[in-house]
Amino acid sequence: MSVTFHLREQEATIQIHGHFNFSQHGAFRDACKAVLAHPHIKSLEINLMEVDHLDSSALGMLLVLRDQVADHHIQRLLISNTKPVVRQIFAIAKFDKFFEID
Amino acid sequence: MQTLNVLVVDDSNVNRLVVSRLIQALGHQVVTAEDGAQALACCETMLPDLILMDVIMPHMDGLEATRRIRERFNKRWIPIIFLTGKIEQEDMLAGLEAGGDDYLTKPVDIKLLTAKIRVMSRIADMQQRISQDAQRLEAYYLSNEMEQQLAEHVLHNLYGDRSQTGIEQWILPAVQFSGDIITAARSPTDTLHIMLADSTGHGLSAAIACLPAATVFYAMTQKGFSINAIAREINKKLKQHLPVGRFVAATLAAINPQEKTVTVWNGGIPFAAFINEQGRIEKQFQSSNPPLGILRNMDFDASVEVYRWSEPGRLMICSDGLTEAKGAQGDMLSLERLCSMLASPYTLPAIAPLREQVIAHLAGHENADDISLVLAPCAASIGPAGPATQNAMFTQLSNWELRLDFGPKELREELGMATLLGWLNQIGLSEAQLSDMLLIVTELFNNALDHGVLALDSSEKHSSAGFTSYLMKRAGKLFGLEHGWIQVAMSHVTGEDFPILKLCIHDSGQGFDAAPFLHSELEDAAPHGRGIALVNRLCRSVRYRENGRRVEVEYVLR
Repeated sequence: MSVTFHLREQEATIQIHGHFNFSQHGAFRDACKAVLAHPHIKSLEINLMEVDHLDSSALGMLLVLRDQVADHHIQRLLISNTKPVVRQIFAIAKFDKFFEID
Repeated sequence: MQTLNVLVVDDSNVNRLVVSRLIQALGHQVVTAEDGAQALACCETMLPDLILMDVIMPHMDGLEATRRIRERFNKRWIPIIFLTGKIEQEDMLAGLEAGGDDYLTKPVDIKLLTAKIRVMSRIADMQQRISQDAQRLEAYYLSNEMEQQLAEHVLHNLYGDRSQTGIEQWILPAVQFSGDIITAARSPTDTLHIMLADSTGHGLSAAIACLPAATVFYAMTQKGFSINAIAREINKKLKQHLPVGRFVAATLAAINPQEKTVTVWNGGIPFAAFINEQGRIEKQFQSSNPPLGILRNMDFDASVEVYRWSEPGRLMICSDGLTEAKGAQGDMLSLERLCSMLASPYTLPAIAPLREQVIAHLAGHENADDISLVLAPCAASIGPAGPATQNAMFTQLSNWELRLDFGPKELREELGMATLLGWLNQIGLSEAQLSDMLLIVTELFNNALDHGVLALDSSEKHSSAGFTSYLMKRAGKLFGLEHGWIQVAMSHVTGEDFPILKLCIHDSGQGFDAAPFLHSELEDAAPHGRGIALVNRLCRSVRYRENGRRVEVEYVLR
């Protein structure tokens, strides 16, 4: 599985593996849908520990997720465990302006 | 099971009758023929869904009839089952060879016939579906081809004309259409505007996302807007038109040969830099904004970075398709190495070796993302201007007067020049007149703002070290501006031979002694007096009043 997710009480984690790009679109969307279907979720973490690279379509998917999270009244969206290469891409796109990136 | 039209071909009346009955009992329609020739004629009138064919018949036997039917109706597959008394393997093979699909021995066994009809019908259905799919696929392919051709034509025309900009560019799309575009155009004040834009993904959808960006870029450049105003407008358009998750990373740059400055707004492009003629990176413009089309306009930051060069060089911008291009060993390109290849006079073409270097790096692999690269010479002149096109004159008032007041809020939000540009573009000036007026208004308005309202010392601006601190001081003072105003009045009056455009700019500052600047020649003026000397040369008259707080100029509309 390239995209997995875990739910623990009010927290959810989505983990992506390998290259985060358009080929993950379906899996990522399904995972988001599954997580957002739980009304009690208060915080969502996108764990990128296993992600070596991401492209602009991944950035796009994160923007879409950000809107959905707001619609579902989830208080916190966190992007975690970014590798230096990935962090660099977020920095160029200035995503740190509107995402909490760890 | 659906009802089938079955053609029974047999020269024996009895056999025809028996088989027909059997088939009718199974709920199917029957047509009969007495020999191969009749069978062919039946097929001409109406194609059956299944044929039961005797082998030995007068006139034309079953094998020959089958061969002809296959030849004649090659677009559609009709199942043919041979009915024969012989069960020799040779005959069976000959039948299959002629184009038959199966065999039944006489006398016909009803259970076997039912089963075989079912099988054939199933295969026929499948065959039918496949041929329909193939037709639809072909139609889709053709219409797609046409659409792609149209798109290519439109996009080419939109991005095609780079004449008189002096830039060199290279785009290597990952698929047929590039999601990267490069646009370049000269503003009426002879500033060169360049945009390198990289939209999400690649292919036609990415190319389409770039369209609004390109049209806004060209329209606003032509009207004399600055790149920060253009970036803001593109952001607004893209935010309106694109779905969430689609955006366009872009660098907009303005090269001003008179001021020797490169002004850059960078949102999400990994590399934009001024490279000198020794091939070294003198100034790199970092991405300081998210790509266009993400932020609401109220959150949009249009602030730009300005670099002043002392010796000529080149501006180089490239997309992430290039900075992330992987070589044979998964290694990245060295940008320092690429830049070092630009160690040559700015007048010489330089892009070809860079292109070869990148292609060699890819080592025969296809590029995963669109690659784009632009080089623009930065020197005292952009190159010869194109022939001026005369604007179509339209009926207009011959005498009018307009006045605008800008207070601290308008000045802080830098609405002054944007509003004046809007004005100037609507009063029916020719291209050359617009260019002159833009220069005059820009110069005088900026003087009033910088040295009048903000009381900045202009001499500082022109030392190389002072320029950056000057810009920071300016930004700081403007941000905290609480008092002050600028009044702009413009009037159009009938002159002796030609109409006259009068412009008056009045500010709340301390004023200054303009006399030395007015009387100096353009060539030997101190650097910070050049603006006024230039205005003086373009206008019929330039008068400073109220100790330099108010300037009145007259421009002849010849």
